[in-house]
Amino acid sequence: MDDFMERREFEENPEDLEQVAGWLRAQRPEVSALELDRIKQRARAQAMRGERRGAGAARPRRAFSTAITVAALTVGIGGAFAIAGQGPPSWPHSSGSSGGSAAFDQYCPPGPAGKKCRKEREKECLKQAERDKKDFEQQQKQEKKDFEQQQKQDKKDFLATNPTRQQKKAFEEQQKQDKKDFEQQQKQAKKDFEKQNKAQKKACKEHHHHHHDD
Amino acid sequence: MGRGVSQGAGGRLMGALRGDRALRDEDFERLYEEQAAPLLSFLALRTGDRALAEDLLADTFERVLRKRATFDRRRGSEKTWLYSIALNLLRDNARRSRAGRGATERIQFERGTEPLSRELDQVEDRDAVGRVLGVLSVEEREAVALRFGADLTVPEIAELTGNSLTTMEGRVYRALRKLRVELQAPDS
Repeated sequence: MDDFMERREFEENPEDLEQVAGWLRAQRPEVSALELDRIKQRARAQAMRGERRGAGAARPRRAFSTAITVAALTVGIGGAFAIAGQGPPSWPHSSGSSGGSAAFDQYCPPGPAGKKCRKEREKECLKQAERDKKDFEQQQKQEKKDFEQQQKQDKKDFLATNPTRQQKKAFEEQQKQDKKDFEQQQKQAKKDFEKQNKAQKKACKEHHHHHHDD
Repeated sequence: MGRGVSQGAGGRLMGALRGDRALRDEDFERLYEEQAAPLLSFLALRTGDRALAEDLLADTFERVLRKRATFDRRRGSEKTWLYSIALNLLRDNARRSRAGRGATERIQFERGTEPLSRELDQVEDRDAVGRVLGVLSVEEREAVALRFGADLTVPEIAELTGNSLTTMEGRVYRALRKLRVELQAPDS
């Protein structure tokens, strides 16, 4: 009762209502840790089955490729490929971790002798940032396409159950909300990406100038 | 990144992908540990059916697992998100199940004059519980199940259901009064 009991003046004896609240609490089911664990395992199994059922042929590839792109921007290009269990690509450095600088220094000699090399690296770095941007945009397009296809399929499955007009309306409202949520997520992801991409480009230039000044 | 380090390359990669706003694997475990029992209490009190409540609990956490990458902390707490999933599932279930109607049908009892505490002791079996809760509207039952089953605060319930605090306070209060009257009635 606590919070709302304090906020409201009751015209009747609150103790009576407290007893009712106590009775309601006493109706809570008893559940053991074992039972809860069994339900959790069931939830996990259902989720795995659901993911397999919902995934189209192209979906895992897309997910993996999206993961590479975004992880690259989050943990640094080299780091992302290290995580993915592959060797880093040939680009010089990334905006994220310090691993990028090491790669840069490895390929270009320090001082004036490496000036040309570093300029090329900077150019390549900027190109890569542009490619990442294009890839990201492509991924978002593909995700949107997949989402729309999935909604279409869900609707088809739902209509096959001969729903009532009310059920149909509720379903459509839910899909509309899901779409709105999806678009909002994409918008936010794009915003985050653009911020990271800008930082990545800036880092390409700063890295070059830093070595140039040396 | 330091997240999901024990899950292999794929897990680490997806951990990096999800970012700080999403729900991580360890968050799922914690959420389950903290919220599974109260959520089950809510579902059981709301539906009056333990087996259905367990099904809905599993379905809720299944959806959490499947949608955790889309969870955004800036849009609300994990708890609110979890309960909103459960409420959606309950509504879906109610829409699909014609049989559910019987459980929520209002059954009238004759009023008695026994002291409340004694009446509380007399209501023991689940059928009696169902009958007592049957006097509540769907909204009232949902409100008391959230409040006294899951131990959510009234402001949390208001946020979750999209109602004003005053509306929710009034709803819980009305429900308790109705229940008190019902509990004071002689057991038929």
